[in-house]
Amino acid sequence: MKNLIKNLFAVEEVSAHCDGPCGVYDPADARIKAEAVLSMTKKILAMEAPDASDAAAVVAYNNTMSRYIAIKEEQAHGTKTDILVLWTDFFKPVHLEANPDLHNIIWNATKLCSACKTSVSLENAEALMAAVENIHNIFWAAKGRDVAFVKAS
Amino acid sequence: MEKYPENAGFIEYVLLLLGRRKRIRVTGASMLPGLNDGDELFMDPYAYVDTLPEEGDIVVAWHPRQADLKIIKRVSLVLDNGYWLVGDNPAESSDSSKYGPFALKRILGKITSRA
Repeated sequence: MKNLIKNLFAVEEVSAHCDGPCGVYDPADARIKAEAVLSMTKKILAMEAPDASDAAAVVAYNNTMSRYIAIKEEQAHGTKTDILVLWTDFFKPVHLEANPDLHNIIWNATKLCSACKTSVSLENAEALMAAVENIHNIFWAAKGRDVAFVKAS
Repeated sequence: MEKYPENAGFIEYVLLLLGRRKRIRVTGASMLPGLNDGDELFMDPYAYVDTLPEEGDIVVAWHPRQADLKIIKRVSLVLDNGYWLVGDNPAESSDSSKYGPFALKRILGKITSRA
């Protein structure tokens, strides 16, 4: 009886797939994370240490600073992962022919991700944004589309 | 322990007849171990008309990047700016960890039972 009722209606498929069949890539993933790295770097540099005698203020300062550092660390690593996924999964030999310096560009961009983790440097964070913008331009040129590099912040 | 839908009782089949449920079939492995490739479920497309998704709900949503692709995920977090949807099997899932939160309007319904 239940099957009789059920079979009166069409069944709709919903996907519980991974990256495999999706094949959708977008350097926006790396851009958002690199923006977070830049934002956290600015926030860390703008922090002012409280008077050491004010215990509550020191605790609050340490907590906020720790959170900024943790987010910077996490987002820099995420930026690196996103760039590497584009490199290994999206870019093909034909793209390398059009951009002979692609491997070097990726290598330098991912090195910058590491530099942003180990340092608190506005220069490195801004250089990472520029590197991601460069990859964005190469990516969309490879797809034959003109997509503006729009930042969220 | 994640909660998985129970087998549909007769009421669910009556609701299907009344158009209050839809038949859904899972493809892929991102909802393992509870939901397997090929499992059939019932979805309530009106579940979030009067109430909002809650953490733990299994929902069907539009894929954020691929037009016409519907995906099945679990609500992991309710945020100010949407819902954090994840697969129960993160190693095999593209979800909010990649795409960010899902707006309510992208969520199509709630899984209510196993057909």
